[in-house]
Amino acid sequence: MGKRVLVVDDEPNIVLSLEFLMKKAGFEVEVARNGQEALAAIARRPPDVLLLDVMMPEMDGFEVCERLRADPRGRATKVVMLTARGRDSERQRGLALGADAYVTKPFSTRDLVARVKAMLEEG
Amino acid sequence: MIGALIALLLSLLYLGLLFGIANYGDRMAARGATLIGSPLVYTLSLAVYCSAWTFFGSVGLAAEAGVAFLPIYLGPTVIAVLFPLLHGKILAIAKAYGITSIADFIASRYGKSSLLGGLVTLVAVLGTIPYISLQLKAVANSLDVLFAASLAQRTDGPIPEPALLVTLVLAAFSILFGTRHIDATEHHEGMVLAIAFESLVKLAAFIAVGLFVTYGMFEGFGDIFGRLAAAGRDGLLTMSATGLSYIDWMTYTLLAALAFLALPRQFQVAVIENVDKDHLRTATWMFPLYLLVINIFVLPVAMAGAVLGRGGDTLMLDLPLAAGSQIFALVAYIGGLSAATAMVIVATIAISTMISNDLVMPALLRVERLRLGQRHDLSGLVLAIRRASIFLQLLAGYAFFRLVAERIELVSIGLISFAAIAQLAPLILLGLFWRQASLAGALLGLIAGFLVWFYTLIVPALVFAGWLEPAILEEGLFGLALLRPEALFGLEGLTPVTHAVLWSLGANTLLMVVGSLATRPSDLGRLQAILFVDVEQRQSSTRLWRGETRVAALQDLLVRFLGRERAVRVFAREALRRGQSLRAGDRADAELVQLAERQLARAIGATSARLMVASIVRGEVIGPDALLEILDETSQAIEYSQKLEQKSHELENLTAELRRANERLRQLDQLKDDFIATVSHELRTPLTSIRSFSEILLDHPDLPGEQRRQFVEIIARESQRLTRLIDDVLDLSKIESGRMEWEVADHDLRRIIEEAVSASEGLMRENGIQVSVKFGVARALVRCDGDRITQVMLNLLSNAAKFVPARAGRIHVELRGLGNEFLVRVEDNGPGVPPPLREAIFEKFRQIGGSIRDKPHGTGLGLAICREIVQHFDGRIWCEEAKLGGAAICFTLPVREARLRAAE
Amino acid sequence: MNNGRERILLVLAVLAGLAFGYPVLVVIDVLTLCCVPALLPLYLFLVWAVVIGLAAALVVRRGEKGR
Repeated sequence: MGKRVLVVDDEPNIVLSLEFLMKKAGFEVEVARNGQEALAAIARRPPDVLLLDVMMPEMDGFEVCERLRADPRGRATKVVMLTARGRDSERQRGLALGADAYVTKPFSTRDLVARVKAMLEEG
Repeated sequence: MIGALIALLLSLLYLGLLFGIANYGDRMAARGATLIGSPLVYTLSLAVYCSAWTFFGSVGLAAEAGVAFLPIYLGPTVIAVLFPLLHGKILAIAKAYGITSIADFIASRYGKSSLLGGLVTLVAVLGTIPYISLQLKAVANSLDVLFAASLAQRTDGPIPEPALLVTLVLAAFSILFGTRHIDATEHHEGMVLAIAFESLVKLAAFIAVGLFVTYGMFEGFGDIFGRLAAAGRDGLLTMSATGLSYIDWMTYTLLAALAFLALPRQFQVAVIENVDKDHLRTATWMFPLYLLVINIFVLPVAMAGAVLGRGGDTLMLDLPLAAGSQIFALVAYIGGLSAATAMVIVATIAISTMISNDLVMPALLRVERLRLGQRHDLSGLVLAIRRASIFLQLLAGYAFFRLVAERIELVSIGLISFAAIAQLAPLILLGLFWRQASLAGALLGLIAGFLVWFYTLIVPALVFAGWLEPAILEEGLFGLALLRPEALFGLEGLTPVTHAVLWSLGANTLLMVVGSLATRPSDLGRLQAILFVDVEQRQSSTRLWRGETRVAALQDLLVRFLGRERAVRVFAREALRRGQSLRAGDRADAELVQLAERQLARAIGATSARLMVASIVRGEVIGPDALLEILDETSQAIEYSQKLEQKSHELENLTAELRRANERLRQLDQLKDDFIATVSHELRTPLTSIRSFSEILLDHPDLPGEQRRQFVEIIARESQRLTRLIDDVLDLSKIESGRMEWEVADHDLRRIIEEAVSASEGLMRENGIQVSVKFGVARALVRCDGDRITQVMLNLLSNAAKFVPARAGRIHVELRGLGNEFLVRVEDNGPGVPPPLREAIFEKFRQIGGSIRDKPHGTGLGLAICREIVQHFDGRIWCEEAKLGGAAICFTLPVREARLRAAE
Repeated sequence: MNNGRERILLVLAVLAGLAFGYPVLVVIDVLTLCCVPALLPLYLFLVWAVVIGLAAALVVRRGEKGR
């Protein structure tokens, strides 16, 4: 049974590239275009890895992460935050909310894939 | 018979009455019933211009030199005609920015410089003290005359030192009058009322004495003139009698005009005490009318004196006494007294505000050891400074009188004062109308003008008074003939005053212009210049707020300077206005911080208020020129901390200050970061797609052709988006910083619209959008930059195209006339913009999307740029509901003729 | 503020400045000496009154229009 990845971003092109990368890496991929969709997908079945954009309209990535961690079923999910504003204060906030990694855009695709793989092997 | 002591008694009674009037005015004002709401009172208060110099000096001069006294009144007449232009603008500025005095006005204009504020105060003080001494001299002289007259009849001993007595009484009186409360822009209603009353008294007294002399002692104008001719003195009424050359006459007129503009007491009554801008309109004709009326009897009285072989500054008293009428002598005395007291009261109050707000307080606030910033109640201190300064001014006036002025005529002292005060005029006039006028220029001009004034007028006066060796007048400084104070660089044949005015004002203006052109003003200076010069357009500019402070902190600050009662009242009124209470723990918004700064500025001046508010607010108020101001503050803070570093080894307490400056620097840096972070987010997003897909293509050479093509297309599209974004950011920053080069010409809006529509035809066809255009006018000539307006049109069209439903999109463009403007509407049948967001879509990086639709692929700057461009050409832009059901973005541009008119 | 009227006021101020200016006064002076005694003060006060009257007419009319 393959590991499942949920990609959440409001930029369609970024979603497309992440979807492609994760599929090529052999994961099962689901996508969400905003915070609401993401929470709905998580509620259906929590993924193994959540690739989560921080800056989204309405509900941002921090909130999604917080709600995910509040749900006991979501504790096992690995969360990788993606952000285009690489400030230290934000990184700390993300990690404090329970994110496992914090990646600044634009990212290296190889590193990202390697990181996700490593994360899944650890836990 | 009426003795001299009765004159003294009468003086005290008169002053008592005056005080009663002022008290009544203040009490009524406290109850909310203003007594100075009439343009008549405003005009009469302006007549504080007519001091004892007018009352006694004019007649004395006219008896010797005919109409030579007139330029002093013709100058202000010309200025009065310009009231709606000059004072209209000054008033708008003063009211918008809480100006408290002329020094505050000038300092604020040139970047809230406390150095300049202090210098202006200094010039004003030095220019006013001779003037005060002139009033003392006039009152003392007239008392002397009355004593002499009464001595002939009675044996009462004269009071040994009338001038000192007059000084002390006036000092006490001014202090009582002017320093009851501390807020300098809250009107001294009582004082204004009393001054208006004094203007009536002196006018009535002058006319009464004039009538008595003309019709009581003589048989009318004809009789006086006939006897003057019979005595062979009718040459008195020709230009040659004035002893003034062409240049002298013009210079005196100019001097009086400029002094009238810049005199602290005139600024006080005309600007600070003004309660209604509309009063200016009445004053435009009524004030020169007052000047005309008060001058009507100057010549008859002077000619009567000439017929009787008398002259001098006390002619107004001498003539009635010679005719045996002590009553009219007393009337003249009271008229002169009222003219003198009015001048002294207003001048000392105005100057005391300047001394406390622009000289002493900024200095005290900067002295770390006093810890004034932390003291609980400073209003007492401010009042004490003002009272002391009033007292010292009068004392200095008395000293000048004793040491110098006793030996010089009234008119000469008045002109010396005028020449000093006129040095401020270039700073005001250039500052009002010339954006480039800078602090460096202002400092250079003022210092140069003042030094020349001192050298060419005060040095000779000191020589005449016997305090300096006459050698300097004859041989010049260091024995250099070119440096003779009264014939600088060989300029001879003018009266000393003309000579001094030409050199000092010339040097002042020249250095000011050269200094301004040669230096780049600080960014704060530039901002203030814009705020002043374009005051009419800037009134409504909204401000953002990113600083942080609590309501309670602001209130504490106000309590310390205004007292608890007033501070609480200010906040209560604001809460009432907002319809919600201001809780102490709440974060204060921009509006509240500005309100507090304005209130504070009214009490202690703009410069000090800024220092105080900055001390409790973390962060800074950000205006429309947001970045400019932040950058400016940063560079100021950097400069400041560098200076401190140089000195830090000298004093250990300076290190604390250094820490604070650095702290502030850090906070400002943070603000700059916020803006840069937003831009960086917008840049990184397309970059992410570009990098991801490039790497995908690199790592997967075996992708099917179709997918390859799709990814390359995305890379191309995102690259375009990145280019657009960079273009937009550059455009916007150029426009906002005023560095955009506009190519303005006449354009037909119709052509522009047609071109834009045809240029976007491809995009529309591709997306199956139907575009219709309707022109309501045959030709729409506007003055603008055609390329930029085309850019606006293209932006609006592509914006609309983004929102219309796929394959069923409709866009309608309409152009029609609307009064003095042309209106362009771009409508679509998309989802529309909900009313609460209609303003917000024109802000930077505010895209709507999300729940309505997928995030649109604009830069988030398009509409912001459109707004900047349209507003640059005096147009408006807004969003409303479209008849097609979606959004309608409308903008207007003024008709060419209307814009040309406005430009002039 | 009405631009047109402001401009007229400016022109009035310049004209007043000229009328009060020395060159005109010299001409008046010559007339005084040859035939009309005391013309100089008469002229000055007259011009003064005219300027005030014109200024009044201008600002008052502006006020009515503004309302």
